[in-house]
Formats: sequence, C-alpha cells, structure tokens
Amino acid sequence: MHDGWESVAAAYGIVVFAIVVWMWMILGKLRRNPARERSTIGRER
Amino acid sequence: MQPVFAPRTTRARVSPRLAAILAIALVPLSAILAFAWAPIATIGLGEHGVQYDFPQKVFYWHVPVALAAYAAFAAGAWNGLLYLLKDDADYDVRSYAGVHVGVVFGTLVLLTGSIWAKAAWGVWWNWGDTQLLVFLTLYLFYAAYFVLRFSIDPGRARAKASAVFSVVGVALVPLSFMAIRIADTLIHPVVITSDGSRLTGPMWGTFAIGVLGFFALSMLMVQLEVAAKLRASRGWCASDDGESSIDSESRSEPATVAHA
Repeated sequence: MHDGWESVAAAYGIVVFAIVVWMWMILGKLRRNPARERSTIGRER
Repeated sequence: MQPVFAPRTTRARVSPRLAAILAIALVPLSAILAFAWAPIATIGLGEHGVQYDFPQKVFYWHVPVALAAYAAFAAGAWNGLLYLLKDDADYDVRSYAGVHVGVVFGTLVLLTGSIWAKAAWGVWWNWGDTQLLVFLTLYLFYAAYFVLRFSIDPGRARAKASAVFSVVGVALVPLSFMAIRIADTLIHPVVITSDGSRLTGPMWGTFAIGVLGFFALSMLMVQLEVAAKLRASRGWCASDDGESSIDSESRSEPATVAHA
C-alpha cells in the first residue's frame, strides 16, 4: 500500500458521498409528485 | 394588472440525459484511470522535506471539481445577467441553481484540497497561499448569496438583488484562476504554466476525462435542481405519471406563489 493512501481514499470518498447524498435528496424531491400532495390547488384550472 | 412573477419554461438548455450519461461514464472512469493508468508524479514537499507522491492522485478530482465549481458560478452569474436583462423568473431559478451547485462543488474543493495539503504540506491550510485565499473569498462570497437571498421576501426585489450579487461575484473566478500564476510565492502546484503543461500523456488524458465528467455532472445537478424548484413552485403543472418536467414545455398558467 502506498504512503498516504488514506488521504486519497478520504478525498475520493468525500466527493462520492456528497454527490450521492445530493442526488438522493434532489431525486427524492423530483419523485414526489406535488400534484398529488397539494390536494386540489389549481386542479380545477 | 401586475404580471405574475414565476418561472414559465422548464426546457433544459442541455439534454439532462446526455449530461447524466457523460457524468455516470466519465467520473468513475477518471477515478479508475487515475489509479490504473496515470503514473505517480512527484509534486509537493511534505513535512520535514518528505515527498508525498501518492496523495497527488487527489489532483485528478480536486482540480476538475474546482473547474466545475467555477463553471457553475459562471452559469449562475450568466443567468443572473439574463434575468436583469429580460426580467424572466426562469433565469432567477437557473441563477440560484448555478450558485447552489457551485457552492456544493466549492465545499468539495476545499475539503479535498485540505486533505491533499495535509499529506503534501503537513498542514490543513496555508494562509500564505494566494490561490487558497482567493478561492476561499470566492466561496464565502457565494455562500453569502444565500444569506442575502433568504433575507428578502420572494419576488422581483429578491430576484434582482440575487442576480446583481451573482454577477458581481463572478469577477472573482478569473482572479482565482490566475492567482497562482500572478502570485510571488508559488506554493500551490501549477500544472499548466506559460512554459507548457507539466503533465504527461496519460496524466493529461485522465485529467481531461475528469474535467469532462465533472462538467457534465455539474450541468446535470443544475438542471435537476432547476426542475425540482420549478416543480415545487408550480405543483399542479407537474404531470401525474411522475415524469420529470425538465424536458417539457409548460402548458399551463404559472403559479402565483414564489419560487426557489
């Protein structure tokens, strides 16, 4: 194992973790359907 | 009657599908190539003159993420400028998303850079490095964007103040990019100098793939956030089958509620 591999693993891990969490949150927002959640607001249009 | 202030279109400027494919393919590929293809370079002297070679691999994601952060800030500023010119709330949402993604990437730049600095320099931060200070200034400036934005009630006044702020801040991007080249103390590693590149072929290839991948990822993240914001502000415009609205043109009246 190379010297300093922990630093490299930490750096790459942080980037992957942040992107996965961000995607999970934003895709969760997109998957929720506000048309159903917001009852009848605007439906009658 | 005062016109409704809300975003009208949801058409993406760049195909989100293409951006997703590029990001999913190129970002992991750049990591694989960084370890399997690119040779280990010897840049950076660590504590007590000890050379730390392997942590240089952080560079293959650190720099592309930084460039993607610059691009996201620039996109935020460009859309802020378009908002000021056209008074279209759609640009306000796009400007907000650009700055938001830029700050997310900027956080990653600071974290990965600090990790590399600890391995290479022996310290987490170096206050004598012009590049670090300018990037930190840029980052904190755009972090303050959210303080400004959410201290004003939704509407035109907030959109205009946010747009002006985003446009002013983008002046720091070229300054940050040039800081390591105009500074007297060259502590921060400079890869591409006036004398040419210090990278070999495999290093260049890996770096370029990383840049393309993270640019695509930042574009995708901006578009997804724009879609989520638009959908949240005009809930009843969303299709019932759960299809993402970022590729479709709005067919109904805009909401009267605030956005972003």
